[in-house]
Amino acid sequence: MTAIRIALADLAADMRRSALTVVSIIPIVAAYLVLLGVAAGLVGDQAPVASSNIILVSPDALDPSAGRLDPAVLDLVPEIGGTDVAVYGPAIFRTIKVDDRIIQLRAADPSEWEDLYRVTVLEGALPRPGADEVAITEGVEIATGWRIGSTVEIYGSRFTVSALVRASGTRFVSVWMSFDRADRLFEGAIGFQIVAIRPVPGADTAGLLERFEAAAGNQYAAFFELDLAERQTALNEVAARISVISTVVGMAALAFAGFNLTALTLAERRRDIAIVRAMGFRRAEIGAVTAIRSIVLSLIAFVIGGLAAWALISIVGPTTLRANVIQVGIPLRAWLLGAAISIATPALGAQVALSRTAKAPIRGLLESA
Amino acid sequence: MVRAAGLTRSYRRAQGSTVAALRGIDLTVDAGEMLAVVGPSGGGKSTLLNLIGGLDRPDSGSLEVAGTDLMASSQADLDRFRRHHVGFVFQFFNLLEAADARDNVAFALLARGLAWADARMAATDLLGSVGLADRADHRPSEMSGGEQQRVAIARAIAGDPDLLIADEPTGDVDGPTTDTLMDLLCGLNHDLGITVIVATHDLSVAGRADRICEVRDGSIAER
Repeated sequence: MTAIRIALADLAADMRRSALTVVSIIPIVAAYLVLLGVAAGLVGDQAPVASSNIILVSPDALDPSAGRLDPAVLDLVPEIGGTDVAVYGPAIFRTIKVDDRIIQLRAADPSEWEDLYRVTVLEGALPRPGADEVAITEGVEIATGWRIGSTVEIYGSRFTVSALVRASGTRFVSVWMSFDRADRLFEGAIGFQIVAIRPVPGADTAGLLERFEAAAGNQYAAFFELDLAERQTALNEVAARISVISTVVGMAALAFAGFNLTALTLAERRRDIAIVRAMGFRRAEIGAVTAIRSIVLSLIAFVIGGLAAWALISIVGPTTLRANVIQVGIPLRAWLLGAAISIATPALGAQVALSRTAKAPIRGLLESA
Repeated sequence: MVRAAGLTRSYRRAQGSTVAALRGIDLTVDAGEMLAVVGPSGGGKSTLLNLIGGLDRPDSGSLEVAGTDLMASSQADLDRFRRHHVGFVFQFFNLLEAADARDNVAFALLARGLAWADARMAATDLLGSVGLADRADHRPSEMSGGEQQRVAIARAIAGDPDLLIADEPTGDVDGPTTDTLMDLLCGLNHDLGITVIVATHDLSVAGRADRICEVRDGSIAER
């Protein structure tokens, strides 16, 4: 108890120095928590692409949404697939910008959404064919705050959100529209980018894909839908890995700040340490006071830095990265780990620095500036 | 109180050479005595006082202070020794700048295990005994040199020490203040029976002691 009183009295005795120390650590804490929040948002939950669909896309475009398929490809599907094909159909697939967010636009006959694309209606009703209505995925709801009944503007046309749906890959920020309405939106200029093919249950899907690949020529490229989805999330995974590295750096910075806080305090106050040693204070007592002092400063900085990080994340809100929703949030483990680092590293710094100071002759320390 | 025989102490300089600060010091100080240690700068006065006070260790010899064999003491033993037996007064005061006068004195009592509130109350009384009751809330930077040294004396006697070691206590104050401080130290010696060892250049200060020894070039001689 006495050590705590002495530590608090010491902090209060020079409020300016204490405040400056706290201020210097706050940005490190805030950066650490924001980095962990971004990393958590990038990795996040992802509903699996539960589909054995085969997707035909333009062979020229790295990004399927940038290509265009020849309508003749549609006729090839039953020829090549035969009785192994249950359902197939064309889809418009574009990456568009709405309200400064990058969003996927998918358009197909609403009657095929459930059967061919595994789209499940969570709320509302599917858009009527040709109507100025769209369905949004959960990713869009998180990223934009749109709800059933919201009005959105896409390429100058206004649409009403009629349904909240779940499609494969929850984190994709996708707006679904009827094929006819999308074709009108683009004035027929872009055709369609995808042909989706659902094999019959029990079919040899690998063999079916091989047949489509063999017959592709330069008319289309064939993939499993799962592989295509993984390509789209690859960038996010790279970003997540980079974010993890940044998080480790942030943690190291926080730990180093806490450790240094104590070590520097002892280095700056060698004379004070010598004075109290001359009075007969035990080394453990000096270590306890120094550690408590540093822990208090570190925890104050952690609370303020945490509030700053939380405020920043709240202001920025969810965002999108290549049509994937990034829901930034600071997980509980980040708070707990940060608090633990803020307590442990100053205490460790006190012991390490004090072990060196304790060995130095008091006489010499008293004479130091 | 103090029995020293054959004390030596050397220091290594930054350039690598060694300086022999003490070359076989023999010294006896009786309990309740006031001893003045005089001599030129660099002669070894401060080194001798640091050894007696447990702030440093001799390289060789024997040293017993207040019944404690300092040569055989561990660092923890020396901490305990200083806590219970010794009070220090330094030339440049060595007060804690961030603490006020009351807390500077209270720290010496906290080291002896007193509770925070009790230590501060006792510190206030001690400051009153050195004439600084009205300056208890002032920091060292807000005090004169003489006042700071009186705070240092109050701190030095706070733990009821057997021995008070004063290294050039009047070295940084003016003449009238010197007399005031020496009155205080002599009063502690005569009235409370505290053994006082004071190192000084000032022969008028030395003249107020019971005995004078001179330390020159690491050796000691009675004057």
